[in-house]
Amino acid sequence: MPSDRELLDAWAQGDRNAGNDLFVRHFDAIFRFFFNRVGTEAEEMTQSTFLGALEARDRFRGASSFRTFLFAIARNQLLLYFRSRRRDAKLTFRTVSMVDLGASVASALADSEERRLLSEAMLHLPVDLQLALELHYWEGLTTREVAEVFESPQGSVKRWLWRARKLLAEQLEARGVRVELDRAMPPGEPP
Amino acid sequence: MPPEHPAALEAERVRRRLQARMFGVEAPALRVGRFELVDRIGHGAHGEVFEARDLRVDRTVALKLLFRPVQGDAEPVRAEARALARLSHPNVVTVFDAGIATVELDSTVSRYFIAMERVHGDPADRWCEAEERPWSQILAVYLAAGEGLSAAHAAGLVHGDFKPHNVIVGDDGLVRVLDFGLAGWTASAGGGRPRGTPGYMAPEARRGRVDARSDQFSFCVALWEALGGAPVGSALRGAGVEPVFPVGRRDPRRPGALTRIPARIPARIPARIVAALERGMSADPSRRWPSMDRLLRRLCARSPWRRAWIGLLPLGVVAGLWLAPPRTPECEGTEGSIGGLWDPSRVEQLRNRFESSGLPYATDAWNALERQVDEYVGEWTAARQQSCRDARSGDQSQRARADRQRMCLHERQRALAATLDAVAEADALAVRTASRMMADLPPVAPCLLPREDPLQPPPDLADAVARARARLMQAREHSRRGEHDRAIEHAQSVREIADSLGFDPLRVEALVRLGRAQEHAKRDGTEALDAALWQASALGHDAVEAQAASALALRAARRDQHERATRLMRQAEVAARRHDDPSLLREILIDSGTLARLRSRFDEAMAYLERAGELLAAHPTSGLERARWLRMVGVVHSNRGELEAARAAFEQALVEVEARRGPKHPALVDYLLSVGIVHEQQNELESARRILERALALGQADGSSASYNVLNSLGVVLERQGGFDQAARYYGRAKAQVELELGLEHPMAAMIDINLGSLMDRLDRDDEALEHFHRAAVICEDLRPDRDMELVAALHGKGRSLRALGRHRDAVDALATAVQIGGAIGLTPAMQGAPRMELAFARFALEAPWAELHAEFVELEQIFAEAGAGFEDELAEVRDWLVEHPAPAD
Repeated sequence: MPSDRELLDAWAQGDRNAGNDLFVRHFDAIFRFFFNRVGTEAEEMTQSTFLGALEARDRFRGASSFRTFLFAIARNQLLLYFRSRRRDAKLTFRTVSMVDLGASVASALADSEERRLLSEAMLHLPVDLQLALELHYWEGLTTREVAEVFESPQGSVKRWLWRARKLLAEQLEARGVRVELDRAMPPGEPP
Repeated sequence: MPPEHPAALEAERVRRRLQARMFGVEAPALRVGRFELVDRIGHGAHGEVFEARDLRVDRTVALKLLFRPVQGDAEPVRAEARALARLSHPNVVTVFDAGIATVELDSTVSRYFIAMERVHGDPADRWCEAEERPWSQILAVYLAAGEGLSAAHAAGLVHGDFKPHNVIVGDDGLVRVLDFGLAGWTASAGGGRPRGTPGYMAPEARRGRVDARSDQFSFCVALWEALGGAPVGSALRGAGVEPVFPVGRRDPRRPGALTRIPARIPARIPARIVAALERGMSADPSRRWPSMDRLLRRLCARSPWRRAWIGLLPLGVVAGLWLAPPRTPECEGTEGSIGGLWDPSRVEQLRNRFESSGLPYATDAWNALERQVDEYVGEWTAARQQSCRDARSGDQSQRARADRQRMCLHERQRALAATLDAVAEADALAVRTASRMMADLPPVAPCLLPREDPLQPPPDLADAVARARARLMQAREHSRRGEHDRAIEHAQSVREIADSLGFDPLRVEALVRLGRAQEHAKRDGTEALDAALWQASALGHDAVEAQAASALALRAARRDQHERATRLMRQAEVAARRHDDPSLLREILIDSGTLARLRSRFDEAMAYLERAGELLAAHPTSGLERARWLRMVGVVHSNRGELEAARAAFEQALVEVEARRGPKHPALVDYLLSVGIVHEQQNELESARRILERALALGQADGSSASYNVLNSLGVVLERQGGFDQAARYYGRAKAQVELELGLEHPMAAMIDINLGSLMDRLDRDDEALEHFHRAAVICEDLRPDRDMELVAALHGKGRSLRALGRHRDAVDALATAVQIGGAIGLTPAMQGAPRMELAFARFALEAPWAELHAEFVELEQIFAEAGAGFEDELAEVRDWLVEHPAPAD
């Protein structure tokens, strides 16, 4: 099976089949990344992320995984999107939450009450903390990979994850839910 | 993010789209059941919504797919969908179908679906936040939504989850409520969440008991919030309800934050609206309003202006009515009494009058008079019986002659009646001249003489006259179609022909046609009509005399010269009765009906129409006469407030025109207009709109005029449906057309300006409202006193706008004039009340003497209280003022 790097290079040479294979491999993760944050814009932003990866392929050195590379581009797309929408060039994901960015609590998609409350609580976390949690626990990125996405030291990311879990537990408790974090979330690396 | 399953469909749809776009991979559109997903529109707590193509009927729908897992079969869902599909209301999103559909991706996965009308627009919450809206506009949107709820309740349906997000403000301007009954389907078995949305849910709904009153509660919460009243939590607590959920209002400066804003609703919201909403939010359902309708009525904040005038300002229907006709005497049974004029009791009464006059010659005078009258009545009765027998036994020509005789006798009867009435005064002059007055009565005998027909041309002119008369028929047809210039041209040419032939009957026929055509064209036809009347009566040309007299009568009536109108119409009637043609008499009867209607004598009008109806029944026609008559009948019913009867008449008229002319004929336009208007009056707005749109399309296809009536009425309907932008466009088009066809100063232009002003008033666009009302007032001012009713309405509106703009002194001027004119034309105290109240408010702002104002408000309270239904809002406003401004201490 060709590697991500090989597919990307072939795509850059004009092999659309290779591009399609690469796209199919990573579409779900990237689409999911956008979908709950920007709703119907997810289609356009998913497309831009893949095209962005193609353009910036020289910066993809192969040291990290292609997925990490894609998430880093996606996060930048998201930041640019909210900065232009809010006409705030200084907007940062460190402090502002999705709820602050206008995500409606009612918009949290959920197929169960438990998940609904969890989604809702997540929306109240600063976006970067939320992203870190999500990438680490649901997308299965290692803390080193998460650090690459954020272009930050690994040690900082570990501290973020710890803070994120604490804030999430507080949010859930404010909703009257007592959560054993280890049960509610998939296992990941210990912080 | 955790929830993977709910996004799966959208992920697949987007994946296929991007693969096709970026890599040229052929992928069919994603299908769910028989629907092809086109685009994702959005999602809510219960499901996601796609724009989709229904492949079975090939139409675009909004397809809602619920998140709730499918359990059991689709039948209960289908049953509910059918109930929803039966609910057709402009303020409710139409549901086409619902059930269970299999997802193409995985045939083991099914979703509940609801296929609905695709509406482009914003949910009310987003619409409210998008920009600063005047509260009246927000209220209007919710009132329209409330109409939708009310219609559903009437159909036995409950919404169960009413909230701003379920109200769509369409790009077309219409407001529609979405997701009826959905709460019931989505109460998920596992989640244990109550139905509905916590922030808007009524307390009893939390216990699972939902009915129309729960919807009312949710509606009030939503409107309360939308008007800036927050937070609902404290409002609920105020009403004795503990809030279900920490509800807050979004702070526009911090879009994400749910902020608790102080409990008071902004002061600019009228107290009665606040009170109405608070009652709707009572914890105990039995303490809420008994129905949505009642609540909506109470909330109609700015409608008093409009409602006060409704029914008085014509929406554009033209029609007609008149004066009491004498009953036709029977052959037998009235001997000697001449229809009660001379029966024993009347004789006794007159004799007593004479005796009691105390004049020395009274007894002699009486004896002479009695003998004279006996003779006259004897002659008359004999002639009447003779004529009557002839008519029954004879052939067509004898019957025609008998008709003429009867008319002649009728004239004599009326003359006798007038004389006896004068005699009954029994003053010195009457007693002295009674005998001479009797002698002056026209003799009875000539009524029975056969007459030559002087109206037919000598043989050498026959052809030319026949051609000229045919041309007059054409002129008449042109007039009917609104082609006034051609009608006038034809009539003038025939008049010249008549002059050159030297044949007077044709000349007067041309004159009357000319005059009537001019009148139709809104020009002055007096000269031609006077000449026609005068010459026709000299010639004994009864038909022309009747036509000329009735046209002049209508003209006089429109100028409020009612005495003259009545006299002329009587002359017309007598002439028509002399004439053989029942169609002429019918037209005169209908014109007389119009006359009575213009004087608001509706019963009299109906009496005339009934007689015209008898003539129609006895002499059926192949044309549209019966349809025209039916329409008049409908108009009078409508004037009498008998909407059902009016509707039946209008619809029957429409059926007849359609049967005779086919469904596309432009003649249908007027009839569709009437039917549309009566539907509007019966609050069937959607059907009214469809009917009027059909009328508009027909009119446009034909390129004919007069569609300004249709456009104006469409504006009224759309405005009531909450489609304010569209309404404004229709009014605008109506106005442009009126100005083009009738001129800037035509009263119709004023009417439309009033409508536009009222619409702007409603939208709080006071500058524009002022402009329209002002223009209307100027036009009506020039037409005084013809359009005083409209003038009062325009001045009232103008005063309101000025007051809203803070120009209280100007407002007082306009309103004082409105009140003064209103008094002069005899408006009822309640009708006068609306501008009076406005005036009082304006004077209050100018700090008029407190005691005086207080007295005025007390009087207004009494007036509105007595007026009852229809004036509740004014009453409430006055009472609010009185509560806030108690009587000055002496």
